[in-house]
Amino acid sequence: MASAREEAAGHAGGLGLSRSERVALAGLAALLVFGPFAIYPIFLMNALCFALFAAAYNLMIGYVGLMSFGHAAFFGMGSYVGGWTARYWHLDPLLAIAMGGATGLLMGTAFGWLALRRQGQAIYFATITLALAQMVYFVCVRATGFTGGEDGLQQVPRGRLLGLLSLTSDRAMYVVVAAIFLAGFLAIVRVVHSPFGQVLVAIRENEPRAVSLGYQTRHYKLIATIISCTLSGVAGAMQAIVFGIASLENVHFSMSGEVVLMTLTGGMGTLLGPVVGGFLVTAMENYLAPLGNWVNVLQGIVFVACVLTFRRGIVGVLGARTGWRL
Amino acid sequence: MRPIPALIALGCLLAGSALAQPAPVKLGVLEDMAGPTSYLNGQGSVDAAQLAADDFGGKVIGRPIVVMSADHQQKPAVGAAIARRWIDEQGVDVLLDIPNSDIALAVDQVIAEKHRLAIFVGAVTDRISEQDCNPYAMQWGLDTYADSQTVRPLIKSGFDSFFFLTSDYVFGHTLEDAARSAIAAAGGKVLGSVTIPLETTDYSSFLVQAQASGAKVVALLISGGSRLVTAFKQAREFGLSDASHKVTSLHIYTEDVHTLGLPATQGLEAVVPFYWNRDAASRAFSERYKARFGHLPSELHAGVYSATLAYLKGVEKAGTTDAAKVRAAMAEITIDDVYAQHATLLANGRLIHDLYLVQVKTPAESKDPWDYFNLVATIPAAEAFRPLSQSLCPLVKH
Repeated sequence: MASAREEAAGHAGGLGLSRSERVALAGLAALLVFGPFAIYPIFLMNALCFALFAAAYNLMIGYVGLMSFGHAAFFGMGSYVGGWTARYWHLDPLLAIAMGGATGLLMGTAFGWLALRRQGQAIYFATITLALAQMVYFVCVRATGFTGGEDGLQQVPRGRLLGLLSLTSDRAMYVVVAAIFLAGFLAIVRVVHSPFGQVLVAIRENEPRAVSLGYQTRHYKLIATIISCTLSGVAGAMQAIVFGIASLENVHFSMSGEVVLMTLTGGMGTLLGPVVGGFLVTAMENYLAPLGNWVNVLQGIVFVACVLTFRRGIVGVLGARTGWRL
Repeated sequence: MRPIPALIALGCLLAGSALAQPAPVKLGVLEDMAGPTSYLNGQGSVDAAQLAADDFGGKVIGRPIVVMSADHQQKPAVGAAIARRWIDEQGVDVLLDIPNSDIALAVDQVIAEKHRLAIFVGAVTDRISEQDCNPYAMQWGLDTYADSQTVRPLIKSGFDSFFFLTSDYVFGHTLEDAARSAIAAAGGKVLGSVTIPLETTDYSSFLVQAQASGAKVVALLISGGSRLVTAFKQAREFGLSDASHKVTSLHIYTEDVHTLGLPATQGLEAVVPFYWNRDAASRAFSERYKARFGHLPSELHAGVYSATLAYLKGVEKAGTTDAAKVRAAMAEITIDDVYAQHATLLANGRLIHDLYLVQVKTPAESKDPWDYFNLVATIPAAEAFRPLSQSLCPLVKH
């Protein structure tokens, strides 16, 4: 757990940020603003979608210690619902993304309620979420009228923001994606630094003790799950709008594995870690694409190397070395 | 040498070489490099495009030709993302081959939005040149309409009732629709069909269902490649074919016959656009391809060769790589090569050309390795493909 001095420093700022976190956040904001001038905007948007997804996932695994193996279900269904409502109901892109978030919220409530009924070892939670996510996957494979099956849900329009601004230009789309990412990320930061977030960390560190202090830990876990799933749905819907397609790979269990990879390589339980991990994994997939399936092998090697040599992830190790809380 | 003059000299040198080397014309070959259809297209298609570029002289309108390739890993989202990146970042002028119908449709969306040309060879769904047509997409390979013509000779020889095992994605569905209307037109009947998830490896329950239907022909509408081969093998194990029953796929690649062996496939009929051993020209091309790349070209490789050559001719005639102008020029040039004979590029982007009805040889008839097909008939271009008058493409004015 964080030391008392850091705790005190942590509550000083507006969002309850330590100084090092504020510097890091300013760096992130600068990257968001100047990034598209140097880097291909579609790549950046893709990376931001995954970064938000990983940050949401990190809220559960990093701060509550809940190991979900089925997060692809929320991300994927978010992208299907977001894409579907944008295409067939001609919803405003913001509303369509909100619909994706609502899907994550509903599914997260149901899945979380069910999976958290099983108290005790983390393995139960992991297997139940995995099983539920696999159910979602196979429903998506068969429900071709809704998901397009193997073809994916194609021809999702980017639409016009608030009915005014066309998002077909990548720059305009990028501004929307960056804004939503930042809002989602700051929401997570706020949650983590709130008294609620402190209880989550307490549950992670020693659940029986948190119970003995009078906390209804299941409620706390469920709420954290719901927040995480909602943001995952938002990230999924955003990706569908950006690329104009929602496909089966987003609900496939390998996507659940990928978000674990992002969170762990970046640094579980750190705020910036999942963002760094999201960028790293997307960059590998993007720039190493000519290698084809070898990308998966490389990802495996990176994962093994990460677990063996720096278990706290890139940001975790960096934080430990410098003494900053990131 | 003093540093500043040296730097200036270096700068001039670099500028000079930049001027001498104009921006290349980029051809992007989007492939399934390691998946179940990679042996039909994959690296071989990239090689075919390179061969065409080299045959053309390596240059067009004074600019060098660069062939690029990428692996879409059989995922529509990955394919569409690569297409976007190629067009936005690399300035790719034309996308080639793009096998797997689902990925092709996703890429089709991207090129329509970005106004960039694509020539589809490995994707057989006819939606590319029909409902979803656009001024930038061209379809070079066979489509589901042409494939379904295979049912006519079957029905003529008495095999007139059908049962379909259909891959559950756009390829399977469009092929089944096309086959149903072709069967109805030729006086046959369909006794039933079952859709199969793409990842299926055990076809037994579907095959038993097909057997129970009593259909004379069990048609495997499964995307070419290792999946189809697996289904064929299992059908053989279940003893589905005898004197009065046939198991067929509406499309057979030479490579699949090679894997399955002649005893299992002899007598099957199929419509193919290219067969390496058809005539002197196709043999010469195939030997040349084999000498360079170590294997005979598949019909898709030959298709990519033809498409690349036609594109380059179009660029030369148009004098620019501007998509709309090249597309217009391609409709004017004569396309007549080892793959496409008596060819015309229609307004909906479909290339029509002669097709060949072939029958798989018996083991006794086959003289050489890879000598697999007897040419039964030539189907003239106008009959082989859907006539423009029936086109569903909004670009075609009726």
